[in-house]
Amino acid sequence: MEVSRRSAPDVILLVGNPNVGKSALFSRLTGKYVIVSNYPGTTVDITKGRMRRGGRDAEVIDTPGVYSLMPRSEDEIVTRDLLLQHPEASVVLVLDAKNLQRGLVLAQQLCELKVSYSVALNMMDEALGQRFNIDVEALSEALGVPVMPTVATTGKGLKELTASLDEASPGGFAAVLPEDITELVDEVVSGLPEDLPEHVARFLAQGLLIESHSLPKPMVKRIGKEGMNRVGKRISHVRRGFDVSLGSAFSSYRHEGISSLLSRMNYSGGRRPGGTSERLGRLSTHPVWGMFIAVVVLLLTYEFVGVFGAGTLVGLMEEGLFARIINPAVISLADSLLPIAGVRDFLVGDYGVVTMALTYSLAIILPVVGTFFLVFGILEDSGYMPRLAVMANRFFRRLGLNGKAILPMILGLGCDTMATLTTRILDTRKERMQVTLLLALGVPCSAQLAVIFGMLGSVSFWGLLIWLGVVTAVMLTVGSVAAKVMPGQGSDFILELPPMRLPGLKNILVKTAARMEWYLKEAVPLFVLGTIVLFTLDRLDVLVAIHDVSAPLVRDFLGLPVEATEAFMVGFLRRDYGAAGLLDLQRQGMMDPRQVVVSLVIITLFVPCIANFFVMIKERGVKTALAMVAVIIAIALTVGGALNGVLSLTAFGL
Amino acid sequence: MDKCRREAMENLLRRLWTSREEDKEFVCGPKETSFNGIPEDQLLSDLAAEGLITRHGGNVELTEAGDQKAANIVRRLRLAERLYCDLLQGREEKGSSFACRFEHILNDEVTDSVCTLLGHPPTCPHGRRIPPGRCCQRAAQAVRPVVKPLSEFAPGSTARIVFLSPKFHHRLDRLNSFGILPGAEVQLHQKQPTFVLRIGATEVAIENEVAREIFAIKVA
Repeated sequence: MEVSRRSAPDVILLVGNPNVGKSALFSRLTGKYVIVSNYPGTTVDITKGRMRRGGRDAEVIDTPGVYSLMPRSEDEIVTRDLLLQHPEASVVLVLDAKNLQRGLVLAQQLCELKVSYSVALNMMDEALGQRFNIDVEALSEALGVPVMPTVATTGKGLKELTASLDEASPGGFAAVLPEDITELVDEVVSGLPEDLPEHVARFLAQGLLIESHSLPKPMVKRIGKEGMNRVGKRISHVRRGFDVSLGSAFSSYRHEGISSLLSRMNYSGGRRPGGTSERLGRLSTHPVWGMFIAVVVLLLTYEFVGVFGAGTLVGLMEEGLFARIINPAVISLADSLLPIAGVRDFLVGDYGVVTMALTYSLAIILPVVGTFFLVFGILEDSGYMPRLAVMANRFFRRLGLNGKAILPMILGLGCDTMATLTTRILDTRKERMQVTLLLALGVPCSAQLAVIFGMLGSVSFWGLLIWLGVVTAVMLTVGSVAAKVMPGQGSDFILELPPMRLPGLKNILVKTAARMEWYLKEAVPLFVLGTIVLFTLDRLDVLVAIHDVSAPLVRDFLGLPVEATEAFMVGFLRRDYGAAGLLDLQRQGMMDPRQVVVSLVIITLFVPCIANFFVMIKERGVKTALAMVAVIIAIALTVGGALNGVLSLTAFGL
Repeated sequence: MDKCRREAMENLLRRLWTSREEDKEFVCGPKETSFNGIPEDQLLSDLAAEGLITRHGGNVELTEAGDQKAANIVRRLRLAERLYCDLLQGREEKGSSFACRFEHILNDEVTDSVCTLLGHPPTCPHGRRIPPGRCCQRAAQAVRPVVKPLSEFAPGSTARIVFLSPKFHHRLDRLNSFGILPGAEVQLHQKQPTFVLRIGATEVAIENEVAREIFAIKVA
């Protein structure tokens, strides 16, 4: 028994502010085997890896970057809970040597939680370059823990850091609170379970005074509804007697202690970093040059993802690998081995798992997503991403969102399914809902875009303008209405701008690989599931029934050929198939220019592909997803019908 | 000396000053010219007797004391015009006659108060310079520690945060976690399309709405 307990791996937690090089440190420590997983019950991803330490395996967990362990956001809750779950873990507090004031709040809190930690004083190279004066020994003495200067990007100081974990301790750098405040904390502590260690109870109590919904979920369950009511009453009683925000009071006491430490150790410098990085950063948020840079970056992204990824790579994968080699091989294999037609069709038929789901998700979407993640990683690591959000802020404010929403929106032009998954980066539930709706409604994915542009190109320039104008107007209208109608609130645009730097190739490759793996695990099963549902519907003749019911609507209200119905339905599985179906009709001369424009507007606005629908269910819940789809169908048909009416009435020459 | 005579003398002094301002030579009127029934020639003699002007034949020049006194009169007149236009929202053409009556009533102290009240205006409604008083010089020298929202600072300036008054609690916490706290010094880099601040080595972008809730005083 003794042996088996000892063989359980040690746990090392990396904790720190955002943008301090935690992930770089993580990938240096762990090598290549990395698991990105979703923290249960949240939308937060945590990364785990392994390293050898002292002849044993240790599990390294990269926690989400936080500003405080008195949690106000989901990220902060996850990081705090990980610390509570692993009281025996060795913690590495990663500090940006240039930003000690902020990071040391975490040092205080780790000490208060009695967690053993060492400090990685990271980005030492940049700090020295900016002439910071840092007294490492004085810092170590004041905190009472080992402090090791590191440069995570080059691996400098990591050996010493790992070795220092043997001497890790909670140290003695707790925040000093005045008596009247500690009394308030005590009052809340008395409402918490009695068997909690005192320091944990005090820590949680302080967190409760700052944010009433910050207790770990299991503890809320334990305390029960009545108990929570009592705690809530105590909190509001304590808060009433206090005239400023308690959160602000706590942070001013914390920062007082930190400021006095920093001035004692003569911490200074970094007044004028200057240099290319500074200038580039300044230019990229400039009202005029910033726009120019943003446009160039977006165009390059489109070239790489939309043209190279969605064009060249997809061509190789789909027409080359799948259409010529894999699919014929699988089909002939199935023909000879699977005598039952139903089973054969299930795998390689019109709605077959291999011929449709895998071809689609691996040959068409994977190259797009892969190239996108590569660009995304470069933008992220170079520090440009938040600057792009600065430039986009004003536009998205009109939609009741803020600049951060530009990231999922751009990804949506690659693949809406993936983009819906990345709405997790937005701060509030409401913003995630809004973006999910807008993605499903009006952002055409790369697969569709190619066909749409092709068809519109053969109509006229006016056709393109009408399509673009209608889709944009619908997006703006729906966006601003949704901002008013949807419950919840938006978030402030307060965003850190890390210094611009040259991204490290290895780090980006590791990240891209981890994200592609995530795609394969999260999205591909959805495509398979979608195909299976469609296969079933087809077998049960439900598709024919839907077709028969909606055909008159398509013909009379939308003024389109009946055959377009099928294109719309197929479009639900694969957006590009839908567009391709319409392309066929156009080529056969069955649609005039007016009909082409109307049908393209509809298919752009129409229900997203089935994988997107599943991902909406997964992220937003069945009810919300169904409601969104209903709204989207209604909007698509109404707008399509209205456009048809207007264009036929005015007999607009296209 | 009666009031009429005093006013006539002041008006003449003012004319001397403004014609010099306009680079025109002061020309004595014909013999019979008079103000308030007092011959011009007599008034000029009185002014010379008080040491405010010197006369060389037809040539009249302000002495230093006269110059100062005249400037004061002009200042009062033009401030009165400003008062009438800016504060009482009167029409410009009527302002002059209103001001003419006022210029003789105001004493120095009241004039300075009016000047301060109007924010030390540099020109009258007709665009002519208002001679600065002592109050204007004081205002120009003293660095006033004015607390104002960050949104009103010019890009490039450094400010020390005095207090934050955010609409929402969580916004305050968020700002605090970046080190945006009372007493912290921030550099304002830009205001468009969003604000960009530097606190220590951290750069933060915040939107206008939030910047309006951060109150600071100018440091440099």
